[in-house]
Amino acid sequence: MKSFLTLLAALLALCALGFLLGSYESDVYRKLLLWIALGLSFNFLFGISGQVAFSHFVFLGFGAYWVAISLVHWDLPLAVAIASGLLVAAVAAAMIAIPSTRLEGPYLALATLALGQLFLLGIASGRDLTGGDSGLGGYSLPPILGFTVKGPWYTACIVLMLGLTYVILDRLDRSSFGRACRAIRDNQTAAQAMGINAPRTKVIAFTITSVLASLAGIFYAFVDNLVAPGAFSLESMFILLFMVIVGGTGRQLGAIIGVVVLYMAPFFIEPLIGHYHFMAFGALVVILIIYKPNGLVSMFDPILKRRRMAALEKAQL
Amino acid sequence: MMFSLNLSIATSTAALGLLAAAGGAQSQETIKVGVLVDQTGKTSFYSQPVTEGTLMAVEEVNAAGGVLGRQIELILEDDNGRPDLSATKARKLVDDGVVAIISNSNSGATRQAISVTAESLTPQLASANSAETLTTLDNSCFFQLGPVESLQVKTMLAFTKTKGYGKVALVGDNSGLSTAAVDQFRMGLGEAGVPIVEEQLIPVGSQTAVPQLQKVRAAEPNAIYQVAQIGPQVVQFFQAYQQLGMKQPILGTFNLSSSSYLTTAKGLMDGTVFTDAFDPEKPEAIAFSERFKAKFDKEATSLEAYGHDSVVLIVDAIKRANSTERPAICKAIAETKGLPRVMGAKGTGFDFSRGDRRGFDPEGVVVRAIENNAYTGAVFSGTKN
Amino acid sequence: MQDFFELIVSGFASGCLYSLMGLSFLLVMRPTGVVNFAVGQYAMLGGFAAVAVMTTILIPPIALPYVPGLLVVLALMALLGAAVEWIAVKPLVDRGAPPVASMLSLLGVLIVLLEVGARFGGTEALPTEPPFGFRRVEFGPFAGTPQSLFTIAVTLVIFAAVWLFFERTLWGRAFEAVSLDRRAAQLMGVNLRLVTVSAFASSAVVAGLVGVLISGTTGAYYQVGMALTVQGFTALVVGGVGRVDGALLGGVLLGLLEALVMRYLPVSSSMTLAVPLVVLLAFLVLRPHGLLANRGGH
Repeated sequence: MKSFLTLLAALLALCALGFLLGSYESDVYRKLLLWIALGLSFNFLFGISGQVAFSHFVFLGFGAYWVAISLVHWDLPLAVAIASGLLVAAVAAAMIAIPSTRLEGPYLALATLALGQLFLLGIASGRDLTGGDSGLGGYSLPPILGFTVKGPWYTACIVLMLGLTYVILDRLDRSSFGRACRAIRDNQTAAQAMGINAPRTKVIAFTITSVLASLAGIFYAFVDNLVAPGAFSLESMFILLFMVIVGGTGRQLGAIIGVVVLYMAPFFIEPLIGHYHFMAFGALVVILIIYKPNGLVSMFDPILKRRRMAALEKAQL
Repeated sequence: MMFSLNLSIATSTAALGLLAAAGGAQSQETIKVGVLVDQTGKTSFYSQPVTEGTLMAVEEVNAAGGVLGRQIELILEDDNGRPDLSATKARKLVDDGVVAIISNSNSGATRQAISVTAESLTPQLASANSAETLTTLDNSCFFQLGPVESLQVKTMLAFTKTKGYGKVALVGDNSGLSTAAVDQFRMGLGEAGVPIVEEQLIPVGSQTAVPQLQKVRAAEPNAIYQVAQIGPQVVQFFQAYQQLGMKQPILGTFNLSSSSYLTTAKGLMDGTVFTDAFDPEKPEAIAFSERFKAKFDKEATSLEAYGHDSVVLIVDAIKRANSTERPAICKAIAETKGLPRVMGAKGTGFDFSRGDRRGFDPEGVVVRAIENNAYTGAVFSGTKN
Repeated sequence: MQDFFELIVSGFASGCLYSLMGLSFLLVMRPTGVVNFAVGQYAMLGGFAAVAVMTTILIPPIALPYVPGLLVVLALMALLGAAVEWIAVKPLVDRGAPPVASMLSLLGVLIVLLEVGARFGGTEALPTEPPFGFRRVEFGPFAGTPQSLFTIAVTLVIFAAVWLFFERTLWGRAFEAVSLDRRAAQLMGVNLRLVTVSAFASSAVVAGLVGVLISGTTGAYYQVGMALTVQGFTALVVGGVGRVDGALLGGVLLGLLEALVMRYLPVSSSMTLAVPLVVLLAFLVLRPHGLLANRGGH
C-alpha cells in the first residue's frame, strides 16, 4: 500500500511538472519520459533477461509507424489503431523471438542488429506508405471521447504510460518469472537443471518488453506528429544500451538514472565540448564496464542499505 | 578539409558573438535570427557550407552598421539532419525570441520545423531546399529560396529539346533528397512525353553500382538523368559508367556543383551537364566570390551563396518593414520584388509578389557543364527554347 | 553474357572485401572468443588514414606514394588494435569477466572510433588515388577495373599468408592452441599476452586494409563501418565460424550473390543492402554452423 502511494505521488508530481514547462522544455521533457519507459523495458530484456538484443528500437519504430500509417492511410479509429498495433507487435515479437532467442550472445546481437537494418531499409523504401527518409507526418492525435488532448495533458498521458510500464516490469521482476530470467542470465545450464524452461522464459521476456517498446512508440508518434527513420537508427539503440549500462544493468532504478544522466548530459556539456558528447558516452561506457560494472546506481547502495537497515530496526522495535 | 571548415565556423561564430555583445552594450538589443543547421549528421557536408555563407553575410551586414541601427545576432542550432530534432530545435529558437529562422538543413528537417514555426507564424526561410511541396504546409510565413525540382526538370528538358533524346533512364540513390527528386523527375518527364525506359537507384553503403548501370545499359536509353545523388553514390555512378564503357550523355542535377566531386570523381565527370542555381559569371556572383575568397581564402561554391541570399532577403524585409515584429517581417518578405541575389541566372532576383512562396525565379535555373575536370559557366538558362 | 562476366569480377571484388572483414573478426575470435563489432570502424578509420597520408585533403598535408602510404596506415592500425586491446579488453580479461563484457566494452570503443572518424574526416566521402586507375580492362570474356583486380589479388595473398601462418608456423600453432584451451596453452608455455595483443593488432591491420582499398573506389566515408561489420560477420557465418577458408568462401559467395540478385532478380535496387542481412538471418536460423563444418574447439 505504501509503495503504491509513493508511486501515485511520483506520477502526480511528474504530471504536475508538465504543466509548469514552456513549449521547448515540455518537448524535451516528454522525450525524456519516453526514453525512461524504453530504458525500463530494455533493462528487463538486456539487464535482467540477459539478451543482448538490438531490436528494441525496431519495436518502438513499429509502434510509431503503425499508428501513424493507421491514421494517415487507413483512417482507422485511434483505439483500433492502438489495439491492432500492440497485437501485431506481440505476434511479430514472438515470431522473431522463437528462432532468435536460441542464438547466444554475439549471434543474437548481430541477428537483431540485422533486423534493425532491415526495418530501416523497409521504411526508407516504403515510398508514400512510410514517407521514406523524411518521414510520415501531417496527422495529429484524434479527439479522445470528444476531448482534444494536447499540451501538458498529453504529457500526462505519457506519464500514465510510463507508470504502467514501470508497474508491469516491477511486478514481473519480483515474481518467479523475474527470478527465472535472472537465473538463465547468470547460468542457463544451471537454470535448466533447476527445471526452468529457458527457451519459453526468454521468448516471453522478449515479447513482453518488445510490446512495451511498441506502446512507447505509439505515444512517441504524437509527440512530434511525425515519424521519421532517423529516430529509430542504430545510433539511438546504442545510446539506450549505454544508458542501461551506465545506470546499472539489471536494476530499474539504474535504468532510470542512466537514462536521465545520458539524456540530459548533452544539454549541459554541449556548450562546453561541442558535439563530442556521443564520443564521451562511448568512453564513459568503457570506463564504467571496467571500473564500475554495477553502474552509477551502485554509488547509492550504501545509502539505500543504511535506510533499509534503519527501516528494519524500526520494524523490529 | 572538413576540419578547417568546422574551425572556421567556430571562429566566425565566436567573432560574431563578440561583435554582437559589443553592439548590444552600446546601443539597443540585437535582432535575433535563428539558424537550423546539420553540423553532425549525414547532410552536414552541404548544410555547413550553406551556413558559412549565412555567417559571412551577417558579418558583412553588421560591419556596415547592422539593420535599423541594430546588430544581427545569429543563434545556430544543430539538428543533426534529423526531422524530429529539427522540430525540437525550432521550438527552442522560437522560445529564444528569434524574429525569423533560416533553415539550412535538409528538406525533411525543414518540413518538420515548419510544423513548429506554423504555431507562432515565425518567418522561416529555407536557403537551399529543393523539395516540391514545402510551401503547401501550414506556415504562411514559410519561404523557399532554392529552385524546386520540377523547375530543374523543365530547364533540362528545354535544354535537351533539340537533342532528340527519345527515351531516357533515371538513376538516383535512396537518400531522402534523391527519392523525392526522382519522383518529380518522373512526373516532369511524363508530362513532357519522354518515356523512361529504366529507373535505378544506388543504395547508400553499397560497394559498387555495376549491376544497376548494367540494367541501364541493357535498356539502351539515349541519355541518363542522374538525379540528386550525394556522396559516395556519385562516385560509384561515374566509376561504373566508365567501367562499363557507356557513352550515353549524363544529365545531372544541382548536387553535382559541390566542388568536392572534382576530387572524389576526378576526371570521370567530363562531358556531364547539370542543372544548377548558380551562374559564376553573374555580376553579383562574381562580387560574392571575391569577397568570400578574401575572407576565407578558398573558392566559393553555390552552397555558400544559398546561405548568403537568405540574409539578403531577411535584412531587406526588416528594412522595408521598419520593424522586427514577426508578422511585419513576414508581410515584407511576401511583398519582395526584384531584389537582386547571388543565386540564379543573370538578371534574375527574388520575387515573391506572384503569390508563390517558392521565390526562385522560374527562368533562373541554368545548365552548366563539366569539362577538363572543371565547371563551366552557364551554357543555357530558363525554360524557353 | 557480357553482363554476367562483368558481374563475376565486380561481385568477386566486393566479396573479397567482405572476406577480409570476416578474417578481421576471426583473428580476434579464434584465440580470445571475443566478438569485436568495432572492426567496421577500423576499416572506416583506415580509409581516412589513407586519405590523410596519401593525399593533401586531410591533415597532415603530405602525399606519400601508395606503397609507403599503405605501410604507414597499416602500422597505425596495428598500434590502434593493440591500444584498443590494452584499454578496453585486458582489464576485463584480468578480472575474469565473461567475453560478453568485452563485447560490450568494445561497443563503447566502436562509438568512440566512429565519432573520431566523423570529426576528423567529416561526413563527405573522400578519395585516395587508386594505384592503377579506373579504365576498363578486358581479359577473355571478363572485364573489370584494375582496382578490382588489385583488390582480388591482395585478398588472395593475405588469405594464403594467414593460412600458411596458422598451418605451417610454430607461432600459428600457438594461436591454435590458445583457441582450443587458454589455460592448457598457457601451461604449455604459450605467451597469452603476446598472442592476444597480436590477434587484436592483426585484426585491425586487416580491417584497415579494407578501408584503404575502399578509399580508392567509393572513397573513405564515415558511415561505411556498420555495413562492413554486418557483411564481414555474414561472410563468417556463411562460410563457417572459426575457419580461415570459411571466411574467404563466405565473403566471395556473398559478394557474387549480391551482384547477381541485383542484376537478374526483379527486386527494387534499394534492396541490394538487404541481401547480406537476409542471408545472415537465414544462416543463423537454419544453418548456424555455416557451409564448412566447424573444426571443433570452443
